[in-house]
This record gives sequence, structure tokens and C-alpha cells, in this order.
Amino acid sequence: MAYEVHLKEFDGPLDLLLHLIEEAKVDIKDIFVSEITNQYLAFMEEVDALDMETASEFLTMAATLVYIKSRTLLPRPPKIDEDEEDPEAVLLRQLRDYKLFKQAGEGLVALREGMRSVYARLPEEFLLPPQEYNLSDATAQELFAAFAQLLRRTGDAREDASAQSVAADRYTVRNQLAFIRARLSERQTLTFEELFEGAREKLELVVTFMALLEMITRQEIILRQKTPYGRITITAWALREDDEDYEYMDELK
Amino acid sequence: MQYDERFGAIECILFVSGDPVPAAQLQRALNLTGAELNSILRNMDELYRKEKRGVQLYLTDDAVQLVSNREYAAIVQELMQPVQEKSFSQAMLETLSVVAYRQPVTRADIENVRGVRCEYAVSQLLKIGMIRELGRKNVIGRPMLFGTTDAFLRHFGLHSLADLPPLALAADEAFADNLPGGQPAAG
Repeated sequence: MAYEVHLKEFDGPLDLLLHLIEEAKVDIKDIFVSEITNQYLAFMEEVDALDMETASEFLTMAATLVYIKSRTLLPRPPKIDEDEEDPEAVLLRQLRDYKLFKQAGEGLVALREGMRSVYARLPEEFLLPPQEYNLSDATAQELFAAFAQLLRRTGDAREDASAQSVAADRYTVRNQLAFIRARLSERQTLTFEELFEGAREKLELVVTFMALLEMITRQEIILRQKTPYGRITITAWALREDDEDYEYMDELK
Repeated sequence: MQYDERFGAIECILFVSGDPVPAAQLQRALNLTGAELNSILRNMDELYRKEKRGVQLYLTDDAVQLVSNREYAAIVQELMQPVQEKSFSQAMLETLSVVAYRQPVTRADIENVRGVRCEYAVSQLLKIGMIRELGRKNVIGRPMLFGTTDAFLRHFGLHSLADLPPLALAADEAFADNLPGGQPAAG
């Protein structure tokens, strides 16, 4: 007896179709005049063994094939929309595209084989000393100057941006909260400066700061400052995942 | 020769690091311009190849790494039996090839080609660092756009995306002329 293939072994309807085409040794463009549709439908007997989502993908394709087959049996009405593509053409293009990338994937395996004989070391296990910021020479004036410079720079950026149309609420507390949470789930602790590093606009600075305040009141984060004027660090405490039911200060009506 | 010390310094950093070192970091550490670093790396690369050294440079567009010379792999394998990595599933490979050749792509783009949902394959590829999020596409729903990583290049022995084998070669020749996205996007 020939070996049996089961529906489960295929990575979706296109994979199954391609397998049938290869088995039947027909050209992709000839699938509609071959037995491929019937063979495909025969596989649908096993569809109950699949989970609902995968099953529906296979069934959608079955419906398309049956539709195409029925079209060949009926006289065709004149095309209403010239640009509209035949379902046959769409499916053929999909199959060819899929085959292309499936083969490209196999090409990647071949490339990987060539790399199997190349090794790299694991990184050395000693730790580099933590980076320290030396702030002993920093004065309040310098800090102010730096902030003024930052504002000036973001001011320029805003002028550039005004040439395009800018949506009214570009920055919301909700979004900035999500941004801070994402940063903190990458790294447990951030410095205050790091959090504002990428900010381009004044509004963005302000809204991020508002989000930070929200997170403090809700005990999602802990702020620490070891010495007066020292570096402020932000540490994740109990980051919330779901805040759908919460109204932030810029959402209160 | 003036270059010798810089060769040594780079070699030393790469040895200690083990992992790929971003070119930008090397530039900063050695106080070099991009062009200077590039020319030093190319000279080093050439020298290492010519002398058939046991370690070779692996250069990509973004980073440099010291790796073993594959010509001596048989000897290494006889002595140490390195662990063979698990291979990718078919779903992951197909997804990865769509991302590699058509980047930047959204998940919907990938699903269009594969005809199945790709959520899991995409999340797995993100997790092992073969693909990354590039930003959001400016269409309704603002879907995430994906592209390949430096780790992807290394995993498959490529130096830049331009090294990907041409997609059209794998296609039925009759359709080779009207392939969409046959050329990988640069950068």
C-alpha cells in the first residue's frame, strides 16, 4: 500500500494544493482541468480532526475550488468590472507566490547547512564595571542650560513637523504609559533621563511625565534618588497589563 | 605599520566579546570614522583569509564577529562534538522567507502569501531574534511592519540582504518576469 498522507501534515490549504499538484505532475496552470479539486475535497473528510481555525482555512479553499469548478460549467455573464480578477487567476498567483517562498525557505535551509560548521565563542563571563555618571561638577545652571537646549531642539523639530498635518492627540497618557511599561519590561530599571531620551516634542515630554505620575500613584513603579540632585531611577514594581477600565487624567470628561 | 595596533585592539575586543560587536561601538572605542574602520576590517578580513587562520572575521553591514574557520570544522567536530541546533519548522521557514524577501511586511502580507494565520510563527521568529519590528504601517489599523535582523544574516551565513539568493531563480521560469518583490529591499 502506498504511504498515506494526512491533512494534519500540511501547513495550510496552499501547501496541500501544491502537494497534490506535485503528486499529479501537472503544471500549476492546469489544476482546474485536472482531478486536483476532487483530490482536495477527498482530504476534507479528515477536516474534523483539525482545530476550528485551521479547519476553516482548509474549508475556505475547498469552497473556492468548488466555486471555480462551477463557473466552468455555467455560461459566463459578461464582466462588469474589467479590473476584477478571475478567482482562477487569483488562486494561480497565490499558488505561484506560495511555491516561490516555500522554495526560498528551503534555500535558507541550504544556507544554514553551510553555517553549521562555523562556531563562535560565548561571551567572556566577567562583568564590566557599571557605568557611573560623574555629576560632581554639574551645577544647577548647567542643568538648566541643558534643558533649555533640549527645549530649543524639540522646538525646531516641531516647526518641521508643522508642515505636515498633525493629528490633535498625538500623545495620550494611555500610549505613553504603554511606552513606559514596554521600556520597563525590557529593563527593570531606567534613569529619568533615559526615559525622555527619544522625546522630540514638548507635548511628548509633558504627557510622558503625566504618565509617569499616574504610574506612581498606582504603584506600578518606584522612583529613587539616592542623593539630593542625584540621578533619579525608575524601577518597575507591579506593572499592570490591563488598564481598559481605567480613565486617565486626559480622558476624564 | 600604523595599522597593526588597531588590528590587535579589534581582535582583542572581538575575542573578549564573543558575540557580534556593532560597528558603531568599535568606532567609538577606537575613535575611528566609519570609513577608517571599514578599511581596517576589510584589510583584516583579507589577511585572515589569506593566512587561513583558525578564526575568521564575520562582517555584516552592522556588526563584526570572530568565528571559527569552517575549513577546520571537521577537526573541531572530531574533538568536541558541538551541539547541533534545532532546525526551524516549515511554517517558520516560510514566514521567514517572506519577511526576508519582501521586508518591510505586515503579518497580513505574510498570511496572504501563506494562506494561513502566521501569528505563532511570527512570534517565535521575534522571540529567537530572526526578525524585528520596524515600526507601523500608515494604513488603517496601523499594523506592525517586520524585517530581518543582523542575527538572521549570521544564522544563514549572509553578509547583507543583497546576498540573499535571487528569489526568481527558484520560480517557474515562465513567471520569472512578473514576480512582485523579486529584489530584496536594501538596508
